[in-house]
Amino acid sequence: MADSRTRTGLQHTRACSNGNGAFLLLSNSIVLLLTGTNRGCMWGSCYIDAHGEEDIGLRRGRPLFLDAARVELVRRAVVQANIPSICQSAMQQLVSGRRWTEL
Amino acid sequence: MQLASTLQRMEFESRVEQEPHAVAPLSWKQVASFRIVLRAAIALTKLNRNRTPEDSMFRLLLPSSFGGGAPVSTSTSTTTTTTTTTTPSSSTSDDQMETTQPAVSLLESDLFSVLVQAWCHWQAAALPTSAEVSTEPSSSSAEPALNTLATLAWHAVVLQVLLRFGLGDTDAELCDGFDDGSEGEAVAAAVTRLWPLVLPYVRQLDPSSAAARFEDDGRVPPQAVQAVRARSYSFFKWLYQLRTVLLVAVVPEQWRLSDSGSTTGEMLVDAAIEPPRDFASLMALALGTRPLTATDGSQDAEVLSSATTLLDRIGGPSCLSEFATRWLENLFVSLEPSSTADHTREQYRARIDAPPLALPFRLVELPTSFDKLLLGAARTQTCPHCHEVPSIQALCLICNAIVCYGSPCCAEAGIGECTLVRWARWLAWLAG
Repeated sequence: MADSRTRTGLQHTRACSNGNGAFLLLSNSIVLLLTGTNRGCMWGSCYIDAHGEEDIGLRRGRPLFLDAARVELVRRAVVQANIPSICQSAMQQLVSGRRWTEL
Repeated sequence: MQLASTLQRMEFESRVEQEPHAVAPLSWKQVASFRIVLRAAIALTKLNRNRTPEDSMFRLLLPSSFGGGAPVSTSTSTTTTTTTTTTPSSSTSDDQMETTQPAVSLLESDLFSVLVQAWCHWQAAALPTSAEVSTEPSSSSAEPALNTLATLAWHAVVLQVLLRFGLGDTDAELCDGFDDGSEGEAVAAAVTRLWPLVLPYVRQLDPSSAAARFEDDGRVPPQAVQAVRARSYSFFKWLYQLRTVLLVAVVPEQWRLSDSGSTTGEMLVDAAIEPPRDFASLMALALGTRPLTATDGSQDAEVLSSATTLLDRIGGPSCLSEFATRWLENLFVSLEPSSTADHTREQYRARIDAPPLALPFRLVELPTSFDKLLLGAARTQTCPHCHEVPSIQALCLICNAIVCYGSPCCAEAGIGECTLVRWARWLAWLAG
């Protein structure tokens, strides 16, 4: 429990949840879910454009607006502790082949 | 990059030496007690159907709820965690309000979180050192835990009633409470002890009428005792709820820490089988009497009479006054003179009277437009680890931190920043 890796985590006193994290990547508006020690998945975006389309990677450059329903989905995933099952079912891997713990 | 990483690791290791709490070993008792509390939370959520279990559970899981319960004890192990939540409200500035926000939302008239806090408070304060654990049987420590827990929670009820009374609420559900006698004196003693803590907040909330109604000499108005006494039916109701929680949630094995003799949990189960003795035994527990060992009904009178004398022990736990103060501070931490107009008395009364469970969990507030997010404060916000603006920014949706995503500069032994943030929360929760 108290090996060097977990000690490293302790210096971040402000943090998110215990073991299950939800992040919004600002560079491509995608929601990243992380769980456990080595699992995670990209889970779509909370921001959609006027046509209801996601803009993963911000390629089109259209204005993006917050979708309350998707935020609610993320909230439910966090609150109901569904992030592990979501990540498990997604089973997505990074293209670069890096492990999730490297993120 | 490797050099930078090595430098960061060296810096971290030196920091660990300065802050030994960062690597404080976890106690199995802590873990077990958290499990008990969580089971209690689930059971209590089932009792109160207005809330969904996941919401209140997650609220309890949030370490901010445990940060306020850190001990007042001599150890330096939790000084950094207490500073965020025990900051006096008089010196509350904007950034402090920001840090205390989770605790505020949790503690808003949240009796059960008070319970949890009291529990963790005791667990952390009275946790024996490793030498004590090895020498003495640990069964003796579970029973005062329950007593202290019930005592502190009972005082939380008294605090709530006093606040209601101080804010001019007189329409409390009047029931046949204690007339006079041991319990009446017990209530009076508790009110005497807690009223000076409540009065400043009442004055702050309602300066005009409070000045008219309450004197400055610190004397307890007799109506306050009457109000608390009139609500004693609610105490019984709450104690009944606590009994149900304990019966449902506490696994007997958790309390059977040693093989010798019966434990408080078993005694509670025994007491619950006989309804007439139930309230008496629980009241005795709440008032801080000795653990009940009698099995015949003739002990009731003795228990109730001894409650008065033993009530003085309520002041005995040194954490009580600080606990009450902290609870009040957390309840009113957002109160500033300028914001009094926004928070009227009725709103505060609603907060005090809110159902005794947690608020629904919310993610961070995201701006409507993604542009505002990109061009806002996140643009220049630095990663808390490497203190640089991340090349790929990841906004934590739970704690609103901007961390590096997939950047090797923040990786420690192959573990990235996002993962570290998660683990930090998890470890902080485990460590209380």
